[in-house]
Amino acid sequence: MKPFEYKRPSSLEEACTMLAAQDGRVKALAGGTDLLVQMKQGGLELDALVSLRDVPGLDALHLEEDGSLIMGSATPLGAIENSPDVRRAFPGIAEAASFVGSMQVRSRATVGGNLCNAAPSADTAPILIACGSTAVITDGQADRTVLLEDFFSGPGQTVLGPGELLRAIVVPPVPETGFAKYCKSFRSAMDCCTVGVAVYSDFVPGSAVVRDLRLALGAVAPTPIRARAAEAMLVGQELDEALTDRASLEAVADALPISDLRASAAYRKVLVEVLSRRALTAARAWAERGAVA
Amino acid sequence: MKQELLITVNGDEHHLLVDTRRTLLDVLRDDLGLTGTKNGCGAGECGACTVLLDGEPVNSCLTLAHEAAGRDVLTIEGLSSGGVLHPVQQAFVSQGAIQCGFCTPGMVMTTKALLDRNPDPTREEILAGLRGNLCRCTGYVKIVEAVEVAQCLLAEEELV
Repeated sequence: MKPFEYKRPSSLEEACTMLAAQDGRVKALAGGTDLLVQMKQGGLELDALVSLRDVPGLDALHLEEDGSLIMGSATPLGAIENSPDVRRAFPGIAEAASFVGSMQVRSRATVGGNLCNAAPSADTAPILIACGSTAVITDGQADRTVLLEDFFSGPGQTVLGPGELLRAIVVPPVPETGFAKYCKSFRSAMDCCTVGVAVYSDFVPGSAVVRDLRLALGAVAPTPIRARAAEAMLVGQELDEALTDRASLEAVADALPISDLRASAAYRKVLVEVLSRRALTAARAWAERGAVA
Repeated sequence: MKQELLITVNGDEHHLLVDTRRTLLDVLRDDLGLTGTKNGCGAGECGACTVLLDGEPVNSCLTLAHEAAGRDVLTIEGLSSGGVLHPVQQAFVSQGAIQCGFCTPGMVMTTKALLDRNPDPTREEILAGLRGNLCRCTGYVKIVEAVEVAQCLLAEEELV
């Protein structure tokens, strides 16, 4: 590693000022589980790291009175996975967090780090996009918000400008009639996802009729995306087996996968269909059980 | 670029001058001579470098030393007390869950963290907990059994 300056600000304002300097050769350091690997093995050279460790409030995790979930960007994935509030109100998010790396990695890796690294395969992105989450971005003075689905601009790239920091993720409340789940293809532990599919579906009470639905795909495009054609096919319809099959096939239409060492583009398209079917089938089973886990 | 670092390891405070690039693993092994913590892959895959940071299991190879400033680090050397092995260590020995031994300190520290958090894990939860620790010798059977024995030993300790 090339020498770099290590800075540890104690306020958001200070952190953003530090991030604005040095012409982009500076990065925020949260858990470091991706960043350190990039620096040690990936040839990433930086002039400075700005540690978020001592910035207050960035690891706050709480449910608001209206049922929305606020996750500070530096909340470790392990804290999300093990939070009784998240497990009860957002079990799909707790489960998706548990899919990342190992217990050791999740002690350090943060939700904001997972999102800001902007890997198309980031495990937390599809479920948070499906849940309609918002990214709260700050420049140290004022906040701006963007829908998380608009946060990514390319592989490894986000809409964060110089001196801006992802401060928090806000997940809107899931109604009692709403269900969310992330399905991931993984060979084994510690594996990056080859394809990930997350569904959020709100049903007309006492039925499997879809009132609102979002289907988000990971690792099949330059950024995590929504499968809008499939969504359009589902909203307002009763989710039965035949529709599940048709919509899962339709989800492939929005995928633009590449071939890489993990999988060929053709195989990824098959996985989109398979995982979409799994996610939609889980949603349908949940609705048919009377909206109980 | 060196900066001052105040760190507590196994209950002892250390005041060091440490290059910003160095990881917690580097400092433990090279500065403090605590070579029980192993350097395996250096990328957070193998878990041989697992230590507890304020009680949480972390890959010390992916934790910059300065990120651990002011925190409590527990390594394998700090686990036994007064020459008596910790129940997790006893269990690994009694079950023969050690072959070459390279992964063992990481396995033991991860097991401690797992049982601290969940004193009564199922076999599935044990396997999930040990996902981040690779062993190239044993095939894991005896390691999982050792975790189960440690679970019993710790439960008995609770009763005393």
